[in-house]
Amino acid sequence: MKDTDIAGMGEEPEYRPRSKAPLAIALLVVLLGGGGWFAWKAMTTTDPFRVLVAIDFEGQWFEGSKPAARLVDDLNSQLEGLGFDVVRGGDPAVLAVLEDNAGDLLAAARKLKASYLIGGRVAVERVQHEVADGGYTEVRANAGIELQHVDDATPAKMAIQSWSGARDPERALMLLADGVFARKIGAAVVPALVDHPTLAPKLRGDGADKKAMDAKTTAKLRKAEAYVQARGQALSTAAKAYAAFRLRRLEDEKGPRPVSYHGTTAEEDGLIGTGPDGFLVKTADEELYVNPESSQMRRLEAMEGLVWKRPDDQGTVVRPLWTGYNIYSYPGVTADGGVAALVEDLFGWAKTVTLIGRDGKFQRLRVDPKHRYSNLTPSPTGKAVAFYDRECRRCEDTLVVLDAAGKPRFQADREGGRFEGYAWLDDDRLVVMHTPATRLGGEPPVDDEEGEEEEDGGAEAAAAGDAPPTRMFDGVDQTIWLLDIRNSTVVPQSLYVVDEGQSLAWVRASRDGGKVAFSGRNQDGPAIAVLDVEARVMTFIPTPGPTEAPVFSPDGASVAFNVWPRGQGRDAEIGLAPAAGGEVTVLTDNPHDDRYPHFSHDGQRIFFESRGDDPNFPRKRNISFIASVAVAP
Amino acid sequence: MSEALDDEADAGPGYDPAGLRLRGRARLGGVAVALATVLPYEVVDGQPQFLWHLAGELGPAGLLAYLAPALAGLGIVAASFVVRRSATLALVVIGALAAAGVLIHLGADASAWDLVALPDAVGRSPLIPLLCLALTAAGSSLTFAERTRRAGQAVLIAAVVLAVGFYTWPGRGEAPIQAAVRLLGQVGDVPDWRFQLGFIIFAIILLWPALISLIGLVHLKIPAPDDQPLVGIVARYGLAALLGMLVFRGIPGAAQGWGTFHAIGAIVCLTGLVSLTAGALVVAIGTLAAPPGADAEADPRPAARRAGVFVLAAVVLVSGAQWVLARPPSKGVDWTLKAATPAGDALFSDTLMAWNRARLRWDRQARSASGAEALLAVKAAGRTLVDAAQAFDPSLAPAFERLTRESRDLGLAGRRWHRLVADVNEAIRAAGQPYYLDPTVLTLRGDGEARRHFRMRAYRVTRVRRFDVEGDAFATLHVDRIDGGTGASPLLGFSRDLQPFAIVLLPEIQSFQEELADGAAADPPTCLAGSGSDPNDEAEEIAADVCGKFLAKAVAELGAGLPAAAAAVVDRHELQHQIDGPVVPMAPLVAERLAHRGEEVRERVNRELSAYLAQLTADDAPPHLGAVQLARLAIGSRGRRIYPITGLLALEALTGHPTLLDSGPVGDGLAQALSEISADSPDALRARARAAWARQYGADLPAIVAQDVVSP
Repeated sequence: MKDTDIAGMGEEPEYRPRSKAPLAIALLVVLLGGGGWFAWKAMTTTDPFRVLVAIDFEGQWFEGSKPAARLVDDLNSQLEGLGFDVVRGGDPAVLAVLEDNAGDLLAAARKLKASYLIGGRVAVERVQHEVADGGYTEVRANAGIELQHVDDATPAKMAIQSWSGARDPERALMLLADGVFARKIGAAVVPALVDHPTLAPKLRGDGADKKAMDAKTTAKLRKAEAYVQARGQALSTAAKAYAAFRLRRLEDEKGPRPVSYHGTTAEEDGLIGTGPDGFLVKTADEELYVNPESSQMRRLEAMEGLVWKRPDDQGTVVRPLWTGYNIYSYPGVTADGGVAALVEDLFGWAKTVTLIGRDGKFQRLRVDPKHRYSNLTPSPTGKAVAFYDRECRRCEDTLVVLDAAGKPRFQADREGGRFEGYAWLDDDRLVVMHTPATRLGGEPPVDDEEGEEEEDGGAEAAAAGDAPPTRMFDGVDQTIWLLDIRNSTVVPQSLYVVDEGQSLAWVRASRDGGKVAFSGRNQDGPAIAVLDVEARVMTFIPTPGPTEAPVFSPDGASVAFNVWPRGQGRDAEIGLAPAAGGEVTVLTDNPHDDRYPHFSHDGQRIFFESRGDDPNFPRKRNISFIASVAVAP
Repeated sequence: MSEALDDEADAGPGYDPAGLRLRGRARLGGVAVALATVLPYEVVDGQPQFLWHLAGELGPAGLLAYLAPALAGLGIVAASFVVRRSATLALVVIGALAAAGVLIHLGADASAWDLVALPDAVGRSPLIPLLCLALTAAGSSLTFAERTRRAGQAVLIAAVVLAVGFYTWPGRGEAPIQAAVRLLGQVGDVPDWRFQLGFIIFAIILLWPALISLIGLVHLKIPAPDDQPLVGIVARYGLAALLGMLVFRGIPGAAQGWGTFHAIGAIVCLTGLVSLTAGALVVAIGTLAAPPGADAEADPRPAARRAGVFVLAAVVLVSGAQWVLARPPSKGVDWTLKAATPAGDALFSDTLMAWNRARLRWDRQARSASGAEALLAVKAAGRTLVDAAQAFDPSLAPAFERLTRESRDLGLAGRRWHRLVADVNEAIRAAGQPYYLDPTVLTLRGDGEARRHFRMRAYRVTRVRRFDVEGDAFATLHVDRIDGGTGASPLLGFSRDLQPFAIVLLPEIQSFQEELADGAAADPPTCLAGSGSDPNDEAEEIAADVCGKFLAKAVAELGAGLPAAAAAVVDRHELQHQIDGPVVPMAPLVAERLAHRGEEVRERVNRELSAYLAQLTADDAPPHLGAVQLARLAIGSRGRRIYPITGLLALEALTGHPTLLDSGPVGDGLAQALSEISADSPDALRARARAAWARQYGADLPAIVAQDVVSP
């Protein structure tokens, strides 16, 4: 070594600076690689809070569907208000991506950096009502909404219904897309989003999940989380309130028979009748909704319906017969539940007389924009239907009978008096209670040029084959008439004239048509009256208070009714009396309103409406759910 | 370039502290200068507005001007690594900065013709005072060495001369020295010592370049003790320190964020500019202006001169290119007008406006909310529009299709909107259809951004008047508005610098001439009928009487020719705007009387004054009719708004009687001015107006020859 050193002495050492190229190249590679990786991540990573809404509603909005566009806008607005980042549909760049990926919305969501896709389809049923000029279109939406994270194998599914209507079909769809429908979808989707397994741990968890998102990012969704919590709490509180209300009902019941309740207690059902399947109600349900802005609980009206329910704890729906905008007054149903009749309110444009068979098929016998129909009562086998028809708001009621095809069978004016009720004895005979104008303090109408009118004997004259009387109901007092509508000329027969000191209301016939029950009073006080049609004998059964809505048991042996027993407050109870006369039993005893009893198909129980103030919306909404009590001890 | 410049690179530099410093400053200063482009040009509601927000709005020359600092700065940084000779680097630095200055100057002028002017932060940066500082820093440093002392002293004197010129020249408003004196004069009027201190600090900042230049004169007598004298350091960094203190003072009280960032960035930028310029001047002057020292290995001057030639050539080339890009738009139009049809009216009124409204709704909704429905609506309206255009005149359909398709873009820039509408207008003109669409862009600031709303108005063209102005073509369109817009325009016409013609609004002129006729028929006649003004005092009542009399006389003489004469006055007014363009020499009267008003007021009044004086020279209308318009603007006004100020100053420019002082309008002056005008014959008044225009704008009004009138 030394030699070498010595040998090298005196020579100028060659200085060769080390090339920096490899280092520079390595640095460049690292920079390019790192930059490329960041660029790739930036292009492919989705935003954890970004949501794409693409619901097929008469087509996708990017395919040109206006209702879908409106729905998307509304939902996006809700989601943005709660802190989500949404893919805004108004951006043409978004439109281009969606048009290019119409067949694969998840791919579109990824391209748009959205982590979630709210998709699904809205099935629209259009119901064209031939009313007004040009008709009126009712639209019903059944939405199958799907929420899916872009990495989820399958979406979470939600079913949402809504409805709307307008004269212009397109406007009906746009109205549907507005407001309530979108709010319902939002109310379903937001909790599902916040509770989604990819998001919930980051928002609510701790440790790694929480740290995965910075505080500023998670703070964006604080409102959504707060809303979901508030909504859950509100709905839970409401459910508990209904449950407590039901318990309180049970505890309050002091009657001689145990009472069963058949519902959630949130219903507002009207009891129409009973049948082999259970009981028939008209529903007016309302869905609870928590407003994201105010966190206040609101009610969203569902369509009304005519529904058979099972007499179990919850009043489970067995079979819906009809749904629509509104049922005007109480429908009627045959004793066996085979045929129902109702007045449809077609969005205020018209009323109908509609018959519905057991299979749910319905037939509108009358549709009229001005006439008001009420008290629809099908004949025992459903071959005819009787109802009051009022041509205008201040016009007189006319009693009309149509056959099942809508052909008129009978019609009678109230002649200045008042119809107090009617009931079918069989498919051809009606019992009608009529109070003449003279009993109401008015003058009977003038029927002929001379102003003459027959004072009495008209029925007899008609029966003798003379010219029909100018007035059909020519009694001077409240009278119960028998109408046999088989004849082309119907001549009422007087079955019973209500004496001085008596008054009758409500008319209900037994299934065999042999008896007719009334609520009423006589000189001794409140009573249930039972008329033997054949014998024309009226039996008054004293009751402990005023009564309403009498109804015969299937065998005709008993009559149930609601009664206000003296000294027990102002709430009606359910009473039961032997049709032949005898002791009245008050079956219920509680501080709530029980009304409109109907015997079960087998006659073992009496169903009735149990009413009250909604515990969640006191003084703003009544609830009415169905209860039953055993007939026998 | 580096190889050409460094053909003697082998000689290599020896120990050259100034050169080494320049190289270091070139790297840091270059980056600092480049910052000017990437800094937000303004902050709206705390949100920065960057170049890319504006890029689409600027024309090529404006964009190049905006990019100039970045190009120059990065070029300097690159040169610092590539160029080996210090003198060459210095010349490259000076050349790059000079080229950037020229690009910015020409680009700012060019963008004034465009829709959006170059932001003041770029287009109107105070380059001269910064150059004063740089010269002072360079000069003081150069006085250290015997070899460069004389050159340094010359540079210091140049700095002072430049400063004197800058501070005393009023430019387009108040001279800076006047502003500083005014500021200091108000110190005693403010109540609190903190405000007084603030006024004094602002005055010091305003006068800083002058003060430093004057202090630099010390080195005329006393050479700098070293090559980094204190004066030089203060010149380079003193302003930054002062401004930095203000920013620091403002941080606790202000909402921090982009505003502070912007201020700090601007300070860094100007410091880099001064430091870089000073360093380059030291090296360049040290090399070129003085023989090399005895210890120098070789004379670097020949190489530096060659480099200088290259740099100069590059600067000239770049400036020439920018000059070409910055040419104002050509004027005048050839238009063969067909008769208007109901189908055309329907297309350009109902259908087009429905689309425009749908687009506006979509633009608003898509920015603030989802906007899917609005997007569908605008697409549908676009289809309807294109179909209607196809049915009306197939040659229009492609332009409408492009308009509807390309404007469906949330990033639509104003320039593109104007281009798209201009394409439609061009198609309309080529088809000979008598319609014109006037695009407008409203810029609303708020919610952290400057939002632009794209609108248009539709007009039916009644006639086209063409003019020859000293060899250049100009035109005016006489139009009726057909888009159903509500409310009459307060203007009788308008002119857009970008458009090749001015617009004369016939319905508004009809209303105007009816008001004149009513006023002339009144007893006593008045020129204020319909103006909504009442004289402020007795003197103005006299002015109104005088005006009423010559109005009555003019109307009587015109008879049925009044509408045509009124239109001719407006025609001449708008034509003058077209001729003037956006850059009009500042009228001395405007500069003097509005010195304390805002710059925008001054500029707008200056442009309007030119047009109002010019309208009195129209050959086809009695000039007194134009004078009536001035009187209607002036009488009863408070002298606070653009048009009343213009009316008052125009009357003063015509007669010399003061009509507007700081305290407000001068009624006596107004009455005297109108009395003097009323005594003039029409030709005398025209001559008076020409003379007034020449006095104010330093040149004669151009000769205008009306060529033809094109009607359907």
